[in-house]
Amino acid sequence: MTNADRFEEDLRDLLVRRDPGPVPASLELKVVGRLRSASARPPVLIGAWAGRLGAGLAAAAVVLVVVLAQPHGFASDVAATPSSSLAVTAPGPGEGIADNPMAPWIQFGIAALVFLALLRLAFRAERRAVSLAAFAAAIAIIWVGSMVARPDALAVGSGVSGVSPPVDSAPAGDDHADVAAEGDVTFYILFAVTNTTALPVRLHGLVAPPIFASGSPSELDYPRLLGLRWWPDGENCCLPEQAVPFTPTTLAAGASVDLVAVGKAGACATSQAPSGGYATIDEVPLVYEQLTIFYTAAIQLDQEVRIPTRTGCSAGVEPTPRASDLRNPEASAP
Amino acid sequence: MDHADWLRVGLVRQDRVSDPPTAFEARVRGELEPAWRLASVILGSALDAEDAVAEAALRAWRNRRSLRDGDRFAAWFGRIVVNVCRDRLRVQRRLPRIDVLIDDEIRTADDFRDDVHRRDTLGRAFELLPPDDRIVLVLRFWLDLPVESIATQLDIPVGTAKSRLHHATQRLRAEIRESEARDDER
Repeated sequence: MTNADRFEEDLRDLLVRRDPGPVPASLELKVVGRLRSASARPPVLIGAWAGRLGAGLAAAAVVLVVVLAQPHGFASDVAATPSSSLAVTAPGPGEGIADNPMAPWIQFGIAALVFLALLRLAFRAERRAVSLAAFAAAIAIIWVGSMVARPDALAVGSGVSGVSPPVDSAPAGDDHADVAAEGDVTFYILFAVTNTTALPVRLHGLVAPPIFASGSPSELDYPRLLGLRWWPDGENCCLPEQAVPFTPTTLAAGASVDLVAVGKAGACATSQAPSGGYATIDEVPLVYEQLTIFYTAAIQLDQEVRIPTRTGCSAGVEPTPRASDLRNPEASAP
Repeated sequence: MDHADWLRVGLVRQDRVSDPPTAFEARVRGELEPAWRLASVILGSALDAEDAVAEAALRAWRNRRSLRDGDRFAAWFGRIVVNVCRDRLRVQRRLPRIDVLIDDEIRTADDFRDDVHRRDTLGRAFELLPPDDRIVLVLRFWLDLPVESIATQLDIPVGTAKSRLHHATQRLRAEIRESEARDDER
């Protein structure tokens, strides 16, 4: 017998000797016990499909709550606020006014369906890698949903600022900028907008202003924003008279764009002492889009824009005071 | 069809093997003896083998959906048993066991001592093998599986199975030589 034969014979002999023979009864009891406790299910009080439907509805509700919980508004919800005192008329064409967008129920519905499908795949997948990938994708939907529809998606950034024409004699103030206007003349508000989110934002323009009935005493008395302009590619920046009507543009994450809000000062605007106090504009409502969903953002200006007004310019309609003015009338005095 | 039947249909449709728990239990019972003997030979301990088979049965129940063909239950369960044994060997911290084997045949005193010594050396060397080597040697020299069947059992390519078997054999021989060299030094 060769060494190889003896080696193989010894190895086989060793393995045969390690064979314990018939299975002991204790093993069968142990295995059966574990299987029965593992396979025990709680009483099914409802049908399997009803349970799945309930889980699916709960998952859809989670998606909708996360996305809708962000405070946001659609263009049709925007209205003039007391602090801005915007009395508006129908603007002319091509002045950077965004169309009224539809509420994004279709997008929410699609996101919810995709989320449900991913959850189902995650629980039903046989391969762990597929299950983990589906879970990660479902979590990503929640994360993206929490990032869009944010009211602070756009903010005033570094760039142009100020008003035109400014009141030269006005004392320097960090918190306001006064417009020099006599009557219902054009004025401009210069500001820069930055995309503060991690996703691209498509800026569509100024919110479509509400239209008052003609002949309203407030229609032409007070300042109103009528359009949005800009300097594409930075050409001829930054004289407001040389800005062109705004067209929708995409801002990458962190990118900024210089803009000009165009308005009319109102019949009550005066370059003299403001006997009627100040009409103020402290925010500009813009429409933007992220992932096909439209939103509005009231861009809070760095400086409050003030237009001095006078009394007796119409039927005695006073500028709508802000709530802060009523608490501290001296704060609005020049 | 009453409510219980409707639920039973729902339960059955959840399993690819279409096995309610009792049927699955019956299948596992039928494979207990070969699984137990295989685990004992691999692990070298009846107690460890008992735990390994119970764990394999539990693991099989939890992964029952991965069995696409019910006719291959025996091979599928055997693979799970092998995987459980491998996992156990990797975490074990065992000292080499000394098996004193008594030959049934009457031999001379010198032949008897040589046989005992040789088998003892082989037993210790076998215990020192890595888990994958030990498993492939058991499948080849105890179950007498051809290399192709070993490859199927371990879910590896045939070439890998051949290579692993060759290296396992060589490593066992090397362990034996080292053990004999240590014994000669004493």
